[in-house]
Amino acid sequence: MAGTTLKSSSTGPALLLNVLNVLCIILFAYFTYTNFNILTFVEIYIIVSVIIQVLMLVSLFNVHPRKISNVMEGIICWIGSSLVFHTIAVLYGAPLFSSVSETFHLAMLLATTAALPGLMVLGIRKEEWTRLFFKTSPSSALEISILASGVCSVLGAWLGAFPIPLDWDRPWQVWPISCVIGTLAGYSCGLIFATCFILYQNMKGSKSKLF
Amino acid sequence: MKIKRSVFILGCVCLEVLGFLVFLKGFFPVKSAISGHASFIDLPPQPIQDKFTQAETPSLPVPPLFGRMVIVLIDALRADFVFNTTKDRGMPYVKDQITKQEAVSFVAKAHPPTVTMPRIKAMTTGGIPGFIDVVLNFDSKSLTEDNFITQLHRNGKKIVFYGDDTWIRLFPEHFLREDGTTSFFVTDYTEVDDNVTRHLPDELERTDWDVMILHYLGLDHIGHLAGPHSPLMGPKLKEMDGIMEKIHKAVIKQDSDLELPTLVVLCGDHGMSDQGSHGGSSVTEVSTPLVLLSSLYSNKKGVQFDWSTLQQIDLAPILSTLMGVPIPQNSLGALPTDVLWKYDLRLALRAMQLNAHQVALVYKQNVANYEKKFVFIQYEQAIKKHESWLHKYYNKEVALDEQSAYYVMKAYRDSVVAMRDQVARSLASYDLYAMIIAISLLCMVPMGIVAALFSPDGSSVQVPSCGTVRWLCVASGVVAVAGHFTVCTTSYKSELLCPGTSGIPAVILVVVTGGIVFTMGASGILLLTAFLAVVKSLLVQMTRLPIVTKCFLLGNVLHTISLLSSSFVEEEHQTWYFFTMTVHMAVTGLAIWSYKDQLEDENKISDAVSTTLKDAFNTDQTNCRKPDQKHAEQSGNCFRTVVHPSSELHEVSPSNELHRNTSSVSNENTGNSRRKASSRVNLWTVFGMLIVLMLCRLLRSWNQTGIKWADQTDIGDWLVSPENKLALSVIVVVSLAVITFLLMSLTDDQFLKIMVFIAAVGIFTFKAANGGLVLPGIYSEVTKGVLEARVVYAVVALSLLYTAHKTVRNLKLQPYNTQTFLQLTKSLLVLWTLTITLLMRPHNIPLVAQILLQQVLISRCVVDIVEAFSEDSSVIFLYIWMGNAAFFYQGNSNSITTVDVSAGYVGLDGYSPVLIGTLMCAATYAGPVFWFLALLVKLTERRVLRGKVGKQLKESFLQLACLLILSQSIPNAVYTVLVTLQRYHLFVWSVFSPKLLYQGMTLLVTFLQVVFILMASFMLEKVLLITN
Ligand SMILES: [Zn+2]
Ligand SMILES: [Zn+2]
Repeated sequence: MAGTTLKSSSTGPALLLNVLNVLCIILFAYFTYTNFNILTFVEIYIIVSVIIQVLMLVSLFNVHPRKISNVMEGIICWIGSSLVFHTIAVLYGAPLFSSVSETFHLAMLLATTAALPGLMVLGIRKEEWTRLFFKTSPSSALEISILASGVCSVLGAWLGAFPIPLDWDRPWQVWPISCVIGTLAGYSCGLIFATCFILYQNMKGSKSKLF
Repeated sequence: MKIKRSVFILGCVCLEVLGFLVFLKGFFPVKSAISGHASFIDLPPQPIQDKFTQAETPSLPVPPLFGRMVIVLIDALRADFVFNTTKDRGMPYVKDQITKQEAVSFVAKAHPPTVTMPRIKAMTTGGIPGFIDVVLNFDSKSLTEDNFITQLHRNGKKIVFYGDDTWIRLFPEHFLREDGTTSFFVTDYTEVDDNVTRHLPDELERTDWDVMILHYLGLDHIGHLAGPHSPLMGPKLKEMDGIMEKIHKAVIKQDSDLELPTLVVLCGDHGMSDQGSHGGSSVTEVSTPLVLLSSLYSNKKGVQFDWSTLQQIDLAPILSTLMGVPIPQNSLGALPTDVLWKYDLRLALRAMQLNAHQVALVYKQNVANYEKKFVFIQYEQAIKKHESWLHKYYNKEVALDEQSAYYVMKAYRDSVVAMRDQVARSLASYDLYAMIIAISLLCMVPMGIVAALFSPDGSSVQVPSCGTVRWLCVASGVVAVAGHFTVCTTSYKSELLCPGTSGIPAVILVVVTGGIVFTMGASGILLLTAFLAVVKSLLVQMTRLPIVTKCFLLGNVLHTISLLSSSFVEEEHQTWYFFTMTVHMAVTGLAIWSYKDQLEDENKISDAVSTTLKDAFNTDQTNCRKPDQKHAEQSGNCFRTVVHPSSELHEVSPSNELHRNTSSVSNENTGNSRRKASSRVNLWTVFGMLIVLMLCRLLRSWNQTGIKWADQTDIGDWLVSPENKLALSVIVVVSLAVITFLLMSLTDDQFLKIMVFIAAVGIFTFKAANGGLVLPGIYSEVTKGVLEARVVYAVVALSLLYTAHKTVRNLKLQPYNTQTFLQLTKSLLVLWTLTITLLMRPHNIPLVAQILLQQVLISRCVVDIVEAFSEDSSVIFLYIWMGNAAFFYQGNSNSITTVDVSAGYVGLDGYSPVLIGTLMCAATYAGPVFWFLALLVKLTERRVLRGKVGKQLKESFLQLACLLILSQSIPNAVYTVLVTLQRYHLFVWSVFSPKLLYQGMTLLVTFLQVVFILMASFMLEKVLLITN
């Protein structure tokens, strides 16, 4: 990542998007803290998050809505990725027949935080995905955010499974609440990390411009 | 000074075992019972000084209340099975007697571990057996400690016994007539009980016995099979109830002709958890009923039922007193007042006094300065109360009622209970000094192993030996010895290590422990310096380690940390399932990704191939190491990936196996590895990976284990239930076919192939003979299947001899032939798989097939991808992790409840503790050892395929030994520290101690594995000498 040169024009909007996403999560956590139903929480969050992403991307980045067929493909990939995440959760030990809806909500959330931004910005071109996620060479501030938040939200979901076996008998230990919390926490951490990283890069960039 | 690496490793593993043994000895104090038997000879007189009454009341024992006794012990009878009788589950007749107030009943709490043999010992001796008794459970020698069965026998009572043959082993030559049944057929719950009941009509006719003991096992077997809520439970309890009714009615009829009435006792040795097992300390496992029935209590003369609770060990003084024999001398049981009301009040108090006196004797022996303790004063005050009561009694001052006697009895009982608690606590005293010594030993081992792993010279370990170090060693040894003998003079002195306290002569102990402590101090410094010597290179090498190895290390660190939480200890299987799943998931992701890459490449290849192919092949030749013909087509893949348009050829660094990833993990490196990985991926790899993932998921739901989700139904439960016996049989046949096929494809040897087939048939017939499976027409009745099992053992032994012979012959004929080693390791894997298939319960045979399939797929697909990113150590870690997961797939857990006892009796018809222990250990560690052998095969295979057997293989074997010890010694060091700190924790007996025993057992298995590896590497060295 170190060698990446950032297009300064896209930095500001990317930061704005990150901050907005993090704020969105914090607000959600705050409002649903007392009255917590995991399913509605996830549903509403996904809707809000999708709206924010689409609006921001269209208005700030001039990402023209691609042809309708591309949008359709993207949506199909998004649903497909939630199915893949669902399968992964079941393989990790989520019940196969019971609480299917809960598991699928987590899968949708993961698809939204980890796959959707990538789908919107990178499209479904595989080379782009390989470049970003395997070679970790993002070409813009936006891509840094996508990379960091995607990896961190999956990592967060993974870490979120750890407290489940503890015998504390807390309501948040019930499947999949801790994983949902982990996903969102990871996602926010990724965004914050990306923001800091972009700022740091920018400062370095401006310095080198000065001298 | 240089020490040979193998010798150094052997030293380390021995040190580890020694340290762990010392820790166990310090942590589990073995109670030393006083030998000898109680008698009526030196009983205390009644506490009254009055000369005139003294003559009248000499030191007489309490006369018996009952002349005969029938003990009906129903294994795993839980208190609520009797007391909460409902319409479809329970014992209506007994419950009726209780509610009609024609019985005396209690809830008797068993001490954990709730396993049959320690419970029988506790009930008869009245002592609290130490936790370590579980380990000795399978080594049931005759009971030499004083107990009431022996007391009855010595006092001329004739005893007859029918039921669990544990009793016959514990009390040899005690019984007039006996017929033992083994708890061997765990699947049988009718035969075991019919074997007992068939003697009943005859015995009830006879009058030549005084005590009859019946131990019914069927209920326990139903519990293990199907749990307490199974539909089999109701009829079984009804049957038991019918037996109680029959005995009670027959006995009441006979009582009219007898001088003293007969007592019928209904009790259980332990309860049953809601999953149907026992061993732990949950309420359901420890509460058992105790019901006394007799004609003496007829016509509402019993005691009203009120859930009053006593300890199971109270049974010893109760029954001894009621039968008029001395209370066993080590008993800690307290007489409850409720059983004494049929006595004259003076005698009831006398009985209480004798009980208190006997417990006080035990108390005095176990507690120092007992005279000043409040508990003892309490006891003396009770005697004073007794005395004043007797004064009134003999002087007939006032009319004495039950109430006045009750106060005295209560004072006695309170003091007995208090004394018992103190003794129990003193029995649980830890040998802290020994524990600390052990911990410091255990901490030294990881340092030594790290030194061995990272020593710059491959074949030996550098131990600094300059003058300063030598002097430091001597100094530290001297300090250690001085410290040791100083501690021994203080109150922290150790029973085990200090002279004077144990039975060993002081001089020997001084010399031996002094020598040990000196060596310890000196070798501590040596290991420390050896460790410090590699620390610098360690830090450098750590950063150089490939990312995959780092991830594996992180996993092991997380596992060690997880042991600090008792719930993670209970749910340890979740940790391993989670980790192994993550590894496979990552590998699958990579495989799919790389595979798709190739598809695209294939499209683009036609135009690129002509220009770059030649160059690419020349440059990247080192990267495609595929000498094997089977993978010949893959070398084609190798070309293709190399000409990937986006891959820059100049990035490819020459692939040096061990020091490949020397730079930090960068794009370049990952890309490089990815290309290597993709060169090994084809459609089958992806397919195989997906099957591995599904098998992991299937295996984890085969046997639900742990605590939190243990009650969830699993596939094993479904297979075990009697109505699915046919389905189970079909599935087992299919699994055996799969196992046979896979094992046959593993070995090239015709003889072994035939042996595998014979063994598979033998295994099936054994399981069918055993009653676990259906084989219509041949096995109509249940037998032990000794012959069938022995045929399989013989096949395995024969094959082992054959393999050994062949190996020696091949080595003599062609010492250069590297295939010999591969064939040897493969044969070992085959034979081990056959052995564990024989030992496993029928529903776990499909599990063996799955694990075998998993192993085949992993060794074909996963390893290639993993090693593209890393070196040997990652493969070793992967296999060790899979072994850990397999341990839990089998249904094992960190609680003693889940040990499969029946595996110990496969093919045995007599009782042999060593054999049974070995078989049980083999069955329990079937999975880990399987993966260990599979790892040996894999490591050998990789070298052989590259034509580099010998030195490199020896290296990687030694690395394996190091990593095996390291993956045990680090958790052990951390865990022993934790247990020492938490030794007064609530969960110490239910969670920490069983885990400690499991760690010890695992360490033993690891020790054997390490010794095996060292022998193998020694052999390799010899062969190397010949070949060079
Ligand atoms: Zn039992
Ligand atoms: Zn049992």
